[in-house]
Amino acid sequence: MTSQQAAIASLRETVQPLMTREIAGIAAIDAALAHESAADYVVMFQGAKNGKQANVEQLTTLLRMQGGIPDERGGIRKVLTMTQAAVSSRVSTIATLRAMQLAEAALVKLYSAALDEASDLAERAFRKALGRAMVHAHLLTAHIAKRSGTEADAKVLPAPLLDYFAGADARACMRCHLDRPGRAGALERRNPHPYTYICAACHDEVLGEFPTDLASQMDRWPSAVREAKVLQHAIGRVSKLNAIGRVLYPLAGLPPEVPVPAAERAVIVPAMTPTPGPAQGERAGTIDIEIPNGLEADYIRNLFSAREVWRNW
Amino acid sequence: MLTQAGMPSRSFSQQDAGVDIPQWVPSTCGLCSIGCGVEIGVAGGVIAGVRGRAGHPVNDGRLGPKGLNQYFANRHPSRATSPLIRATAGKLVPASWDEAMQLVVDQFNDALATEGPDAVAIYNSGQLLLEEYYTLGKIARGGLGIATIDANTRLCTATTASALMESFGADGPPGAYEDLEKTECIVLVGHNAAEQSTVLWMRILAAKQGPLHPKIIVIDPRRTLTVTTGADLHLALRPGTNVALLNGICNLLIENGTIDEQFIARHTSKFNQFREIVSRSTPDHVEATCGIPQAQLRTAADWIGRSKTTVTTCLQGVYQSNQATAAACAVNSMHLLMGKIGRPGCAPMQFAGQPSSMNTRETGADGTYPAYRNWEDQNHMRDLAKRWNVPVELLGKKPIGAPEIFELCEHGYTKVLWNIGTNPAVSMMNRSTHLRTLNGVFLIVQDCFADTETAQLADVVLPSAMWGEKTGCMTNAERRCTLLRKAVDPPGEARSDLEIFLDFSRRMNLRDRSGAPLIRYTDPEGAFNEWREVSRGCIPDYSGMTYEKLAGSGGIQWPCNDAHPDGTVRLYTDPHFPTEWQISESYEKDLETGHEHTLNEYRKKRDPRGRAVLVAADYQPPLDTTDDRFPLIAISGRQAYHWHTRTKTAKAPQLQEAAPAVFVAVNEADAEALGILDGDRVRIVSRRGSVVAPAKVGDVVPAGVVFVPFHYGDLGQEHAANNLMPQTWDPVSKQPVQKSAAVRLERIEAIAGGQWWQVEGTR
Repeated sequence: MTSQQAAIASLRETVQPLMTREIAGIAAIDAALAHESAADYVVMFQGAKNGKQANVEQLTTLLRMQGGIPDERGGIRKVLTMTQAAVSSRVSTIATLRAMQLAEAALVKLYSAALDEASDLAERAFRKALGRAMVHAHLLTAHIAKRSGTEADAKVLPAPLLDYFAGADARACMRCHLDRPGRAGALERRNPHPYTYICAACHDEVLGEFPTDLASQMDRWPSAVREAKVLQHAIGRVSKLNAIGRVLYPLAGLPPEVPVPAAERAVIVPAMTPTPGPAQGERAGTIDIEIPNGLEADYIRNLFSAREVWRNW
Repeated sequence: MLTQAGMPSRSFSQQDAGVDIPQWVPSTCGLCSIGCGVEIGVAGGVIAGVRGRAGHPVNDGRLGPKGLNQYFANRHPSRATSPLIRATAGKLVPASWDEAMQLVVDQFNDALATEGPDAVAIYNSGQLLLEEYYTLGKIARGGLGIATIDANTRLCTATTASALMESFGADGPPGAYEDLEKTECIVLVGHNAAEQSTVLWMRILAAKQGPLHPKIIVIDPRRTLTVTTGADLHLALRPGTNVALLNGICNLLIENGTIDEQFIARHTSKFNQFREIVSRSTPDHVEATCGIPQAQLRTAADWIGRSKTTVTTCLQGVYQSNQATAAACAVNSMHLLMGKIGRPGCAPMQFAGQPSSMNTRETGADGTYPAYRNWEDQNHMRDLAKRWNVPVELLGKKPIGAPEIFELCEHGYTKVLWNIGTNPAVSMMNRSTHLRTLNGVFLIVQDCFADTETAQLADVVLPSAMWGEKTGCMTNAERRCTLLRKAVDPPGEARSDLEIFLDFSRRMNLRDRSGAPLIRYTDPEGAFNEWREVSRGCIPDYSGMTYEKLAGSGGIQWPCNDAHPDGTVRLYTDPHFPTEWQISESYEKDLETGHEHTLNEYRKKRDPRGRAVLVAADYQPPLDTTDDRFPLIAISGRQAYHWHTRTKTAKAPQLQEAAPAVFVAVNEADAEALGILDGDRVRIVSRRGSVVAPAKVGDVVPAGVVFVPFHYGDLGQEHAANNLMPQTWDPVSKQPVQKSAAVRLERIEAIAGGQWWQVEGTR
């Protein structure tokens, strides 16, 4: 075995079980999605699926970089998890959540173990994936605690349950997937609109995300327009990632994860040349246009005589 | 002589003076979405001329000024001829392909491994070839597993796709250009065809002198060349009020009884809801909102309603404006009300803006999944996973549009941006923010020119072949796919975009589930043949096309399959629409927020089961509002002689001379009030930036409105219209609003006797 083959084998040994479990988890989410009727939970499950897909892509990249070929099939675990998810989603939402939570807890352990052994790129990859797994696990725990009302579930959370849910029900905001308290109040839309729900805290946070040139005009917008724009912004990718890094990370007991904006990494680029005109010595060729009679002809004459067109600028 | 469609033949050509051209290679024009047939003249291994293809079903010999002049860009000395890498000293220096590609792959791998798929993004073009888009989409979705891929078609015709999905269940323009010769009424909404679609406008004017003598209605705030050369009626509405006006027309169609009740009952849904919404757009309301006199509105509704056949075209005046998707849907609804769809002379003609925009939408290079598959439908994803032999669990990611991709870059989530064949340093709204963003990401620019504004900010430049230098297909705005043959070699070490993608995929070690390379083909025809299979049985079905079949034709309109081996002129002739949940490309989005119904919501409550949807929305004012500090509205647009950010057209002598510099069109009343004379240098200031340009005073724009062409944007100069535009986009199509900014005008300097195009420093 060459040293590269050994490195691949060693990495595969760590990565493959994680990948298999993540893929099985995605298959389980897909099975649950097919039966889920609550739109807010559909969005939450899609968010969870997205996180798991991101973890798989990171793991796959690690293997590919070494020249390895990832096995992305999920195997028997996928079949079992899918079946379990299909069954539990028919029983109750809480059964689905508990099944997912168990699977996620196992993943957290595996990622933690992998992280202990890893260095450099792999360490950064496992740390990121572990963060997603922990966020997902805590999200599920919070929903279970709210739905079950059991103290034991709530106790596992790093913050009081009230920080996760302000209202009486376990609703899932379509930005942060919780239902947190805030000043501006929650936003909700129903039929004929697709069901849309943004919790009060997200409403506050999204208002702060608008660029200043637009934020300064929001008071002038009709209230329906203002509400629609807040919802549009809240379900956008950047706003959702902001919610994950700035809100869900701390609510999972992790430090906030806030990336460095591009402008802070910008460097001054030296040469700035204007768009070049025609090459030196380049001349227009011989143009031959058949000019017919009538409206089309008048137009073609105008079109190929710039000064006539300028009258319309 | 008339073609089968009824269009008279013409003959347009340009070639280098005194050069004998021994070889003419059949191709398609590489500018705008009309898809004119051209022949490329080759002499001594270089392009020495271009001529319109006689007998071609799109143009039959015609070409516009840009089409006739496009080959000057191919041989310009600023072509990128070798890879460049930004050295530690900050300068871009030549490198080998190995060095450049390894750097690209290292950056991708590092970001993907440590941060995940959001950390990399691909922003491509509307000017590549079908085979290249398909390959790029497969690499992104099936290989890298990213959702952060989009094309600059987001800036031109993303709204076309969205509106077609909302109204009919899936993308795919229903009509054909030959409908223009078979109609009694043509309505152009926000479409300055005389400057943007010059050959189409020639066809329209020829048709106007034909037996049906169609009435032509132009809806545009400006008195454009289209208005002056062919309109029978001009509705000069206030910018951003398309929805109010179109609702007003629909309201009058219902009031006048010029609707097809049987068609509505059998083939559409939501009529009552639609009627209730449009009934609020009374002629009074339209006059107050849009500034259109009631008599004009009634005439328009009368002509549209009483003609037996109607074609309506839309372009950027709809797609880059306020409420873009709602307005484009209103046009679709207007046709559905009258049953004017799926038969000769009747079509809502939602246009594309670039020669292969359609292919980005079909293949998935715009972030959707190939062949109009719905990302939320697990059956669609299973089918694709099977055809690609990749795990289905890694598909089904919600598309992320270009404005959000640039936001991801801005906020630091995306660290590596691969920019292919496009120039966002000029074309993106709220430009100063985006310039900082482009500066801050690791920027890979793959382009045929090394000196575009975006390339000047790059960390790596990959030189690519351009039009005429590679083989592949383009599909135009009437679903017509044509084959473009390579006529000449690219300069220096430049490679076709397909070759670069194949190299990237190999270096990234992208594999399918069996461990075989993800991309197995090695040439354009191989890519096309795989695409045929991936599209087989889908809405844009190419399975019946082959290179051989395409080479011998003027293009084939999809669907082309066993049932329709010669292609299909019109969609929805039955008329059955793909709105059933099993085939629909999307599940109906909220026009105000962009949020989509879930599968179960749609399946249980919304599914129109094969009927089209009469989509309507109330008018809402633009977000960037006028006030005492910013009392005017700035709109932007294009000119007959330039293409996008001039990277190609500025290099053609005739075009550059015809449109040498930026200007601002100002109404004479506004100019007088501000003491501005024609040619005076002025500054247009918005809440986010400014433009300095000579004023062109006249009556082309109405009072209260200024117009700036968006082609210009040299770095370090205040010429770009996008300096003014806000960072807002349509909620459904995610197309930026680039035709509405509140501004003020300041005179900087009087130029005695000056004329707007002669002012020093504006070139």
